[in-house]
Amino acid sequence: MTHDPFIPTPHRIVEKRQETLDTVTLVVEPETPFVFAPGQFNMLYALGRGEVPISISGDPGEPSRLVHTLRAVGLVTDALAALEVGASLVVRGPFGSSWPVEEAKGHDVLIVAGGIGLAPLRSTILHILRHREDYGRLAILYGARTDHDLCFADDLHEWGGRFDVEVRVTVDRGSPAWRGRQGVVTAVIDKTDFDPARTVAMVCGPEVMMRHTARALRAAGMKDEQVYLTLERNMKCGIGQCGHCQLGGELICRDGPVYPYPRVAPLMRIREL
Amino acid sequence: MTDLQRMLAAHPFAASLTDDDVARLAELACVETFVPNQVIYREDEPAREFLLLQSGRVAVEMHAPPGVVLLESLDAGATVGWSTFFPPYTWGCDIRAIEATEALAIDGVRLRPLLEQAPDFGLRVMRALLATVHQRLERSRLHRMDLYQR
Ligand SMILES: Cc1cc2nc3c(=O)[nH]c(=O)nc-3n(C[C@H](O)[C@H](O)[C@H](O)COP(=O)(O)OP(=O)(O)OC[C@H]3O[C@@H](n4cnc5c(N)ncnc54)[C@H](O)[C@@H]3O)c2cc1C
Ligand code: FES
Repeated sequence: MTHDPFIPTPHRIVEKRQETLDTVTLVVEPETPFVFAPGQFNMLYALGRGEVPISISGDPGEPSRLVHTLRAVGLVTDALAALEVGASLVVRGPFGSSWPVEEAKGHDVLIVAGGIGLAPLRSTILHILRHREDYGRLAILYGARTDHDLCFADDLHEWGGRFDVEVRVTVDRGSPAWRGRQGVVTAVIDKTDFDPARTVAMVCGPEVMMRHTARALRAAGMKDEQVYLTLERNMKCGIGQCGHCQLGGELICRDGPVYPYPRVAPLMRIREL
Repeated sequence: MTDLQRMLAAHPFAASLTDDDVARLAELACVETFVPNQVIYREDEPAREFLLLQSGRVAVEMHAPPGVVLLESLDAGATVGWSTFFPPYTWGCDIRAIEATEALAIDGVRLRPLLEQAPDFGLRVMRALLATVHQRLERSRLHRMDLYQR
């Protein structure tokens, strides 16, 4: 059974993980399985403050657990991040387009994420790992501000320990204890083992990072058509009715948030939008 | 091809160099290894060679009392040591091995006059150098933007 995306439904928080100083993962267990595709998002409601779009960061193959990871940056996300186990999380969704996990079958997959951008891609990674034999090489490139800002550190360790996944983590500024890479995430692309002709890249992070990643992928021999990314704009209804998330001719809540790069590249170049 | 030539040819720095160019550079190259934490170059010391990293990782650092600021880390495939090419031919920052690192060290003092004597060769080497400088400049601009706070 799928959930009615028009009806906000409260769920009890059963688990809370502090990913970083300002980022938490909240887990709820819906009474009926919550079916979603990797890359889709829900509208999460904070009492008296409003509703915000948050991607589903859990495993699509485990619909009994609904997982969101959010960074506290303002009015609503601050309130949501302060919720504790036992509190109620009001969810409406799922909405939007998904990462091209079907199209990517038989291909190498390159995941490039920056900061909280790993959250919507985590569901895709978990999906690919669950169906590992359907895909070629899998590389995960992840950049964060500092080593203390790395989300999903346990997952990164686990994925990095597998023989069939290449994980490359880099930070802008490492603490004195950090012995990993320091530099922007685009710098690790040319160190990664992938065949540009048979790779699908999925990219999520701040827009500047995504534009430059697309550029670095082009320099590595990939075509823009092989690159997918997500766009973020403020949202209200989440169902293509209010026009709040409009960008050019796109309603991001309905047509996105995941897009093939060539479809949105011209929009991303317009300064006023 | 000698082993040195093969190692050199496989490095991204040599991507647009000819076989003859590689052979010329190999004449000036030797393999160097560094242990973790070893300071490879220190700011203001003479810059006599540059490195084509083969494996491991190095840190580009600046001494800024009371500590040291790590500016960037570089992995296999990187070119380290542009100061070899430009006056005053001294290092602009410190280079330290983070992990056990192997590199091809190319003698810049002997290379410099060769670049002048054989302008075609010189142009190709300078292009290769400019490609790495261009890439690193782009990255350092992105780095300055504090991307992930946006
Ligand atoms: C499809 C979609 C999926 C998303 N998925 C996630 C997710 O999985 N996890 C997550 O943490 N966020 C996600 N976001 C972003 C999230 O929706 C916003 O951070 C949220 O709407 C901010 O609302 P607020 O009321 O907390 O902040 P506001 O009070 O509206 O804003 C406060 C301040 O924060 C700034 N701000 C707003 N958004 C951001 C941002 N994204 N990053 C940095 N600063 C910002 C504003 O400019 C303002 O200065 C997603 C957004 C979209 C469109
Ligand atoms: S949020 Fe209303 S149309 Fe997209």
